Amino acid sequence: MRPSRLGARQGLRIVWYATRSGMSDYSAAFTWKSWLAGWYLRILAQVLFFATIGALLGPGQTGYLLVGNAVFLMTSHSLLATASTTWERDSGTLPLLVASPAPSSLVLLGRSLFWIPEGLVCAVGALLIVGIPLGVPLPPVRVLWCLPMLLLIGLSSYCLGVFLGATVLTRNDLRNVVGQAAMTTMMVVCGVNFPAVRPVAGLLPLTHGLAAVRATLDRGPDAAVAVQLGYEAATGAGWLAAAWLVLRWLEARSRRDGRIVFSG
Amino acid sequence: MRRTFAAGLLLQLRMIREYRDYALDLVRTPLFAVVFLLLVGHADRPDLVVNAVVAAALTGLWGMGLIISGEIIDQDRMLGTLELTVATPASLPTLLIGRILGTVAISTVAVAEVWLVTVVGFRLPLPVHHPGVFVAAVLATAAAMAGTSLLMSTLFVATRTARTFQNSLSYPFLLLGGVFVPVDQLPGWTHGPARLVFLSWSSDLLRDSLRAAPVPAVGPRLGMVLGLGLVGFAGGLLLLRRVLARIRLAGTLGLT
Amino acid sequence: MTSPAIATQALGRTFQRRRREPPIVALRDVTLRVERGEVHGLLGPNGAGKSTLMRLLATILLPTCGSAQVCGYDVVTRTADARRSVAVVFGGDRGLYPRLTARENLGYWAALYGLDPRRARARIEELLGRFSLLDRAGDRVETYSTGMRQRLHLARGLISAPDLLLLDEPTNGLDPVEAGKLREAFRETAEDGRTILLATHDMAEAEAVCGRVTLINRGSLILTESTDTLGRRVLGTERVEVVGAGDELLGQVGRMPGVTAVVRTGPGSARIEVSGPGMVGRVLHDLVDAGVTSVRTLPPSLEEVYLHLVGAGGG
Repeated sequence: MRPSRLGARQGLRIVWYATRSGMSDYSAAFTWKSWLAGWYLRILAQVLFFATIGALLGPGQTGYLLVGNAVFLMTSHSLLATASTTWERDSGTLPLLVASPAPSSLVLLGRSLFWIPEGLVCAVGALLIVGIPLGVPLPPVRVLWCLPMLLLIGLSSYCLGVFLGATVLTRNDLRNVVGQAAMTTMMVVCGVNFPAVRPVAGLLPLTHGLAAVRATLDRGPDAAVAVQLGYEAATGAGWLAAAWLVLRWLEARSRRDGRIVFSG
Repeated sequence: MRRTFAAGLLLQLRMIREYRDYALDLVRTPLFAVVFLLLVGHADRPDLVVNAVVAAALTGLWGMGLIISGEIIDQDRMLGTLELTVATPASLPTLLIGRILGTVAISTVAVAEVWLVTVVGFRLPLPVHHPGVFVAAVLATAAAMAGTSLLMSTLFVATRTARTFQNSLSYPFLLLGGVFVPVDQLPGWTHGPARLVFLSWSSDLLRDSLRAAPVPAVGPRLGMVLGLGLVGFAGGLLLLRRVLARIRLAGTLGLT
Repeated sequence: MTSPAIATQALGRTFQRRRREPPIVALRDVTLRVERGEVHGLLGPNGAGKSTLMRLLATILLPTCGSAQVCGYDVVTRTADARRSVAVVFGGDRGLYPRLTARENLGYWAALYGLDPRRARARIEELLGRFSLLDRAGDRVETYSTGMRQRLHLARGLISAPDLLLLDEPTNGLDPVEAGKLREAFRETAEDGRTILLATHDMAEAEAVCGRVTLINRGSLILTESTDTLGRRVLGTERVEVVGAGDELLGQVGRMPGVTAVVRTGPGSARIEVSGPGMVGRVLHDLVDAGVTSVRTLPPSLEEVYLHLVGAGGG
């Protein structure tokens, strides 16, 4: 019996299972306590590190650096997908995925989605908490307005993360280097600590979303913010398309040259 | 002992050559230098270039110590070579010190990268006003990093979940260590804990050696860096002996 | 008088996993003596305690009770001397640095065993040649097949020319050809005068390589015996294989006292199980008298002995 074409519901189910699979891999590393005492504290310290530099630099800089680095947490978490996309290969299930009727690219797209909620918790926490000891607390209501924007930034950055993960799918040894290099480059280029470096920044996730967040925190949401969010969504869609194409191409190529079954 | 030390050093250099992940900080450090230098450039604060350079260099050094040296014992445990190493007549502490110093040696490449980014990339002058102090501070910092790395590598194998805290030791310690913002400009309650971290003494000393003003109390401050490094080293050695003894007794050696 | 290669007295080892759980007794009351120059097998099912004993002798683990000496050195009080005399080889993929080459791996271990660079270089080339790894010596170990890795493991174990070599299931996972090559290497190693303790659950391997075997199960030694006499001693049976015997003759032999079974293995050929003292001679006599010219006697296989003693269910 030939399998029927993949429907939207089935596609979503596949993505859901892939997300759960990724989540279970990740949750093996932490308990609630170790996540809070280990990862979360470090995240807050990271934002604090840059925000305190603001105090040295001059007036108004603390808040600028605080917001930039807190929002950047969404991107840095999503970019961890560069490494976690390759976990499927580590566990030896990639060849089995390729052999199944469902597109393996769908699984790989969904596998690392769990980073986004974590990034959201970290970013919102940093926005609300870090400003207090520094004397620049952010208005909680405006922070809440930023929630959907942060989610959008997380999703668009995630698409870039999956794209990069796809490029290193058959090169496990490069996954962390590529992911970290991308993170740090975006920190330089996308307006996190100083104005964005155009035009490169315009092609990357975070740039427009961060501008939208800054504007919202300054004066509340308005039409200009919506435009920036539109650009952010478009950027994310572009990287999503690129990720999909690379994954499909890789699948075809790896079946030819056998790289899909070799780890390392 | 000399042979064991050399074997450890050579092994670690080869491991860094072969494992791309170990090159992470060699890629990240110059990018951090760019971030910090652009930060001070945009704020028009040329007086803070020294802070930016020292921060980038120490971030690289600390990162490599934490990630590379910190993983030495645990990686050997996963590869199955730890048991075999224990079964040889070689001294494990000596071997570890050799391997850690291999990492420290490579981390000087990260420091050189920061210098290149600053002087060649940004064309910023970086005169070393007190070269003697600078060299002494760099050497003392490297030694202290080695001692602290020994403590970290034993901690990460002494407790199974310690690896989950490995990542969390980066920014908290960089912050407390005053690598960019000097400790005396942080809130008062942090000064006590900060002065227990050798980075806080190293960063102050390195910044002072790059500035024109005379450097006060060089000897005692160098002593603090070395002393804290020695505390880390002694702690690591003690912990290593106890860990090995306990593992041989409890039989958990070789399990991942 | 030289001390034995291995001498243990009431050696025991327990493991305490979690506080509330009872301790696991991995070894109990193990008294074993292996003379210098022996190739001695340690046979037992999975979980019998073979690996634990290996690790105790290699000084990786401490005993919980009893004592052990390797080449005359107590493993607890003369650890450094013991380590200089002993080398351990584990089977499987772990135990090498996969991203380094074979030469780099061997060079590292040579240094840990205290070989000076010149001696180390010569020894490395010698071992690489001996184990047919010379032409791949500059390649990363991660590119090696399982058989090549196992040969490299053995080369690593021999780097210091130890007096005692502990081999813990070294042919696990190898195909018959590779396993055969490795066994040949064990034999050559033994010919150099080294003592080998080979832990295995492969009966054919133990029979092929070992002079004496010790059977172990559930942490206790069952017996120690030479491979030649083990079957007879334990099961009291021997086997006569015959070719060219007719059905009538075989039926006649089957009715003889002491003959427990006649199993036909083909036209005119059979395997005759004989028990009881002197019975083999009588069976042979009758076969030869009847004109059969192709006969040979065999003791029970190690596998039969093993299964008889340990049980088909293993541990």
